[in-house]
Amino acid sequence: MSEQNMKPLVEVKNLKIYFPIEKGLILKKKVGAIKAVDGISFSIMPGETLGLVGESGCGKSTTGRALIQLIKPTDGEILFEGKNLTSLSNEELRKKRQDFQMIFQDPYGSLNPRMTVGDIIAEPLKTYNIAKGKPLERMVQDLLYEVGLNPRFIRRYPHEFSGGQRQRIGIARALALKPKFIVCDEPISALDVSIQAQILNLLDELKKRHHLTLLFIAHDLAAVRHISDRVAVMYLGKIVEIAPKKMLFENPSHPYTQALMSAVPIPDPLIQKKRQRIVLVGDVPSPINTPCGCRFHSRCPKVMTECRSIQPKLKEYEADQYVSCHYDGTINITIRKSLDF
Amino acid sequence: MTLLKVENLHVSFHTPDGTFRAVNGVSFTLQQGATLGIVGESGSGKSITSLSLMQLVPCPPGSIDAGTALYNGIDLLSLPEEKIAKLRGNDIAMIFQDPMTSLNPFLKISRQLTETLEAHQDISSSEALQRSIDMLELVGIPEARKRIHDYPHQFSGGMRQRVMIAMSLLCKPKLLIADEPTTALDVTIQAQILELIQKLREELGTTVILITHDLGVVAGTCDHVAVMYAGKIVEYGKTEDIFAHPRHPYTKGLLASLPRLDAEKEQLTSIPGQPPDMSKPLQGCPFAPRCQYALEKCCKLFPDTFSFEEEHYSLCWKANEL
Repeated sequence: MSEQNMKPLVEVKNLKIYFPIEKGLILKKKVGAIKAVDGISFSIMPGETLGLVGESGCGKSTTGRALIQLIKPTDGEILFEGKNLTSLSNEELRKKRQDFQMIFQDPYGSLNPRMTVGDIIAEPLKTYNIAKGKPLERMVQDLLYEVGLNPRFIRRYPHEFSGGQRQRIGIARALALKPKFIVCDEPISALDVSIQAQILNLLDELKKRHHLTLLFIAHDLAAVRHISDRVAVMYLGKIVEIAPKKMLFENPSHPYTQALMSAVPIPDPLIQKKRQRIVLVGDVPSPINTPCGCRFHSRCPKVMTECRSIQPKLKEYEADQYVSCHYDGTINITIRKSLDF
Repeated sequence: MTLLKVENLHVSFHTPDGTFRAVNGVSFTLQQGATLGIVGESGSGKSITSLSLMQLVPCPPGSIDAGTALYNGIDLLSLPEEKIAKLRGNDIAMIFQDPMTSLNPFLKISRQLTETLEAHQDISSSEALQRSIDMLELVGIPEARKRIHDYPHQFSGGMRQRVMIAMSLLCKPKLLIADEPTTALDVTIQAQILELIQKLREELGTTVILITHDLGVVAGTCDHVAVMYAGKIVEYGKTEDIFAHPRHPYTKGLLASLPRLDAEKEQLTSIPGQPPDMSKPLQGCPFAPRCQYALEKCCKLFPDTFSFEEEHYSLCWKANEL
């Protein structure tokens, strides 16, 4: 970031979210915990888009939900404009909620089928007593227009729309309160290929027009590269690498980021057939019994002895590029291409 | 050698809301040992095409209205049930999209694997078990001898998809239809599965039809690509030709709308509009309402087939100018 004196809009410090595993029907006993998010820290500057990527189960959605206080974190701080959200009273939090919204993954499940589109978008405006009657209707129509839908659709129901149009309704609802920060949780992964670009372009446009700050959660790395300014890569509840996008995509430093990048197919047969792929062996370990040492050591092609016992910390490799790996990025070990099925 | 020749396939579904013409005259030929990628959006008819080859389209409400599918000279579409049942899982096998629901949760993996073998081949149960274990090892399941007695829920998503692949390959099929085999999986697991299909194809000489919506997957694995839109193959050709010189505006639009991992794009050129409603009769080119090159003629007349390089064709009036 060039503005040294600028304060981050969102700051996450050592965030931990554990889900207890209980046994017994009546007398519930805690027998363990799923460590969905296990001590992550990052910050997002105003107007910045942070991409959050990782495979299913790595804790990226949980992080997003915790950020807008849909899940209470087990430990850690979430600072929004310098205020710790976890310590606010319910009433204070309710007021603050206007400033951060969410766009959900499933455009079918996230809209109430019994409400008209107008009611869905008007609901947040009514909750905060911002408008009613004719002015409210005008605001809703403006929002529909803003996301590229016909304002006359106001009395229609969600089932009358296609997936892409529904996602636009979800975006209009998120924009209604003029939030400063929006968490987009896999906003395009449920959509068809030709529609994905429409929604990505819309988000890009809205972001610029309203100076929005976004947390863009996705597993589609190409989409993340398109929309983000900085990208964080998560693996099993930890951030393994966080860097400005150009640096991350052109010079990925963590072995997991490298493997993830190489696994994404590129839609060009000439490039794709020549690429050297790092195929990781095995599956992601269980978040209940997380491996000791580096979480990635069981699948890492560059694993060393200390990786098995000592957990690496997030270190600054280059300006703004943070990597959590014992392995020094300067040495170039040849990548073991695993073909042992 | 031609293994499969599909001609003028029409499939429709009769529902209370009207008749949906899912497949509108699909034709393609598949050479032995080749890999064909069928790409298209949801509702384009790509899955229905493959299901109808195995007579797996539920009738009613579905019905195969016209067409032939010659597999080694036999028409798959008109084969009686007991004969097609012999081919299914034996000569022609299928991998389904969802590894979570395509395995029976009540049966052990061993039972589900040996069932296929025992149904098609005259072998003892111990021999069937041994061959199942060998196949699980081939697809990369560690400790296959022990794991084969587990239930599906004890496997992860990627592992279950491997089990599905093992099951489909047990009888050494000549034709493998993989319907979105990696869509439900993470990218690192997707890479494992695609590499596995590739390796098995080389070792066993299996012919593969890969159905997907991911153009990246196609680019890396297929020799030929068929692009489907509104129940028709609108463009067909060698993978290199399709990606280098797309001759249909839909293919061109899809390629332009994809964000790239290896390059920065200022803005994505999206295809406006929605896919057509398949219950309404189509007039002219189904892509015309979304097409930036559309002529007046496109809305009235369905385009002819225009041929280009070797095997490459496109159904578009302006194909020559693209």
